[in-house]
Amino acid sequence: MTLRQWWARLRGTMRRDALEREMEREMQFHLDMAARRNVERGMSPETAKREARLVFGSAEEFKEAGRDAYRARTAENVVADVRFALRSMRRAPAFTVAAILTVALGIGASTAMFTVVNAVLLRPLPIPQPDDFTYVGWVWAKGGDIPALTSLQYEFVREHSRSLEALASYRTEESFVGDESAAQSIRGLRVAGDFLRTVGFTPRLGRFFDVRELQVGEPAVMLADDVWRTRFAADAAILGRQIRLAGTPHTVVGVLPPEFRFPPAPGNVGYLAPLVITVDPADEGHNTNVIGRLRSGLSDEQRAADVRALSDAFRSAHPSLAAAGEGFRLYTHGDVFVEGSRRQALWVLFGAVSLVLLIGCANTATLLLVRASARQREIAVRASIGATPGRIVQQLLTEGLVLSLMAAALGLALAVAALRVFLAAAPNALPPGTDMGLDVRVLGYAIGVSVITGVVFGLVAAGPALSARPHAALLGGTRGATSGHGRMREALVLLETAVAVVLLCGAALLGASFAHLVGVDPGFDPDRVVAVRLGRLPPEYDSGRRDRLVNRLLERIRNIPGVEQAAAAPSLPFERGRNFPVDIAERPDLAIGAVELRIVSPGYRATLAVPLRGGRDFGDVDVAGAEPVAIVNEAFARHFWKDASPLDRYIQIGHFKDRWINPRLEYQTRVIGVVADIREIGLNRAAKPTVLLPRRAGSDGTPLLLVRGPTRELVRTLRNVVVTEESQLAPSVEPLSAVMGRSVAEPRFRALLIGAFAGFGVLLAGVGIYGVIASVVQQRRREIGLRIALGANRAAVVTAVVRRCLVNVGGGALAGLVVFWATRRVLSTMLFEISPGDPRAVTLAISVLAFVAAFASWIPARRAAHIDPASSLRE
Amino acid sequence: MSDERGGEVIKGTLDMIVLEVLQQGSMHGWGITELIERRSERLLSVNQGSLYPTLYRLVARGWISSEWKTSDNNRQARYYTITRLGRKQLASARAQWEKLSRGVNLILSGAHG
Repeated sequence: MTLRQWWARLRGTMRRDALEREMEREMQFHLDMAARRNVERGMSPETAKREARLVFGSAEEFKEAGRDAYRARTAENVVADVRFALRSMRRAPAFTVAAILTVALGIGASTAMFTVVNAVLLRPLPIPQPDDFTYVGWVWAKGGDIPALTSLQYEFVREHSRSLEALASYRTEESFVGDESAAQSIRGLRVAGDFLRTVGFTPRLGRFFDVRELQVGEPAVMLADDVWRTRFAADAAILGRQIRLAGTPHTVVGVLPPEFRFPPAPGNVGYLAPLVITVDPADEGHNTNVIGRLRSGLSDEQRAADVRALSDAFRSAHPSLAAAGEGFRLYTHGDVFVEGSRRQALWVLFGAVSLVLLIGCANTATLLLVRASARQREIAVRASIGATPGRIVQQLLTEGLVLSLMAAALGLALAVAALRVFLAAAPNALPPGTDMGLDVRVLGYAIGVSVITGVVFGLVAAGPALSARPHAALLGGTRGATSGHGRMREALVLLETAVAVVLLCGAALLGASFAHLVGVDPGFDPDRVVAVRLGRLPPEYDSGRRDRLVNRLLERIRNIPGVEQAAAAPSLPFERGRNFPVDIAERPDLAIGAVELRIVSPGYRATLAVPLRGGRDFGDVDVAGAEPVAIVNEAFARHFWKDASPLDRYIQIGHFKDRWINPRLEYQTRVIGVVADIREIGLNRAAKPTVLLPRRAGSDGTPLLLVRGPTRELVRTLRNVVVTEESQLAPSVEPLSAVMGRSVAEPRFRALLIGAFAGFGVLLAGVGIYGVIASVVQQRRREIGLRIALGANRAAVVTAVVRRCLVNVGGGALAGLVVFWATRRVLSTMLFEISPGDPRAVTLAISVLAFVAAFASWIPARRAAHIDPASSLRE
Repeated sequence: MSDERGGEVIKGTLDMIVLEVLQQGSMHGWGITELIERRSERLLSVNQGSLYPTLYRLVARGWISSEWKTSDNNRQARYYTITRLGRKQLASARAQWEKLSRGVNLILSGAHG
């Protein structure tokens, strides 16, 4: 029990005790007085007392009556109010359904969005002591940083850091676990170092990998709890048994606890296997993902000081590998996975959905106002028979709250459904490790919003109710005092219109931005290209055997009828490949710390149809032992040589003479060609400087294969081609366009979402405008009828009725534009090749609104024009 | 529970009677029973089992309020006072009662004549 609960209970008890005591005293007083009178009438004191008691009756009964009355005082009103509210809602079903649906949609959408904001931005990571979990990366002196280390740096941090109590590295992979006939591969992790302790878990069964397994890569595996349950029937005897992982036997050493989560990995982790990190000073690529657990209890200053000391130590140990001012950096999960643009996008979407909620509430408030004027008579009657203003407000507040809480219940159900759709529609729109469950904060948000809206509704309805003079209301019915809240209704229309304009402008911009994005030239042609991932090669493959396999596969694939080109590449476009530092002799100041490096077979460029801007493609002459050559992209050429031609210039990859890239002299790799920029890391990102190198014997890593040809047939046949060549492989085959679709999933989703919000908001605003004009026409029926009877032009009459409302719509639109103009900058990071003040978007927004407003006012205006004077005057 | 010394108060009229008694000034529960008996010339009597619940209910409705005060014989007693709302309520209840009793009287006298 929390202190607060305890206090509340104590106070309740004290209040009850006080009540009992008071009643007892009151009874005693009564009895004493009765006894005294009896004595005065001549009874003996004893008899007098007994008689008094007898007449009074049961003390318990008396107290019970008192308790009942006390309870009733607090509970009776509330219960009666709620029942009254439900009754009056039943009496106006159309109003009730409209109001509840509107508010429920608003609350549902905003709760769903808040759940996402909560999960991505507010919620701590789902691991023990998430604040001590960290990522380690590197900052270059010339600017730029990367949340990854070289193998040498990783080893150095492991040995020398004082503030990190555990350090580990990981790499995600997908593999078959157990029988290959279990057709689905599952996602797993290769891990190095003190992985499990770094993430903060202990095994449920067995143990983590031992030193031997981690250093030699002895085949061992830890299973995730759900894999252990579903594939191995939760068999505790599995420890020590051999199971097949990617076709080779591994010893099961442990089972992970069910609560195990690994935030950096997308989706669930099915197993862990050892990752061997070979420390190679020549490998200068920052390709080792490093996570660490900070010693708890250290201040931020102490941590920063340790990182500084570590960087200094690394520089003095390896002066050639780190310039002054370079060093390690610690990152939070948010730093690595939730970029600023995504953070902002989420808040903008949340803002947009809140605006929809605002329109929905304004709309419902208008409905309530209309109803309040219809109920003025009822309220006047209640006031005249003695209801206090406070009592009436309490009743109206209860009605507002009943309405909004019902809407919230429905809204929560809608939010859960919306989130399911959200996750299905955009599996890649959220960073990995996002837990989307409803928690206390989300429920608190939904309840808070509904209570606030309920109170606002109650107060809105109370306004006209209290301003009404009972006398006038009783005499004049609903016709009289309406001008006051008529103004309020007009203000609500103004508000709705303004908010709708803001939403429409935002939606138009994001829509246009998305259209640009899908229309953008990715720099290559993804249609008719299929990507084949070979999966993990069996351990008996050394690099020579692997190269022979790749060459044989390429040969076979090229011979398939319909195949135009086939090539090997280290990774897909859009995937982060490997990176290395690169510089040129004439401008050492321009060196780049991490250049995307792609080691590809001849034909890579042609397979992806990347335009060659100058020079030549790789050919059969570029074999091992021949002159080292490279092809660079335009971004790379621009960075180092501005407008001059990069052809036949020399570049240096890595500060060392790398064994397999550049075996001889420094600055020996000659640029032989320039290709167009590929949007390597996402369509909305500018191309990074990239270097292509020819794939040669001994190149590291298992490549993936890219094949140009008839996509549909290839997706069916290529798997068999690979398995025929090497039965132990478990390849995955996917059209490249599907991969590209994933890369625009997030912007598409944003555009779609805000478009839906805007559409919904405009619809609601339209309904609001319609409602106001319709009720004005209704209230002025007699007057309009009279005017028409006296010979007024029907069109003029209608204009007079509608004009006032349209003036408000226009004012609202203007106010909305002003607000949008003032806040347009928040959108800029979400936009692609369109300025946030684009006049076309604004024009579109205004036209949509004008159309909706015209339509919404046309219906009631038409009704006004067709009023029959004879019948309206007789009413 | 009936009382041998007088007629039971008609159901529903006790509210009005209590309000009427309190309109003369604040009084405690005992005093109210005494006043009702005295002013009805002992034709009416109130049983305590219904008086106090009625008082609490009237407080809950906001028609009367209560506070602890020192009584004439120097003891602490809970005094009840009619509120503005209570006076209004009394006025309308009285009007209704007069209409009702006149109607009933007319019918009863009509039956004889």
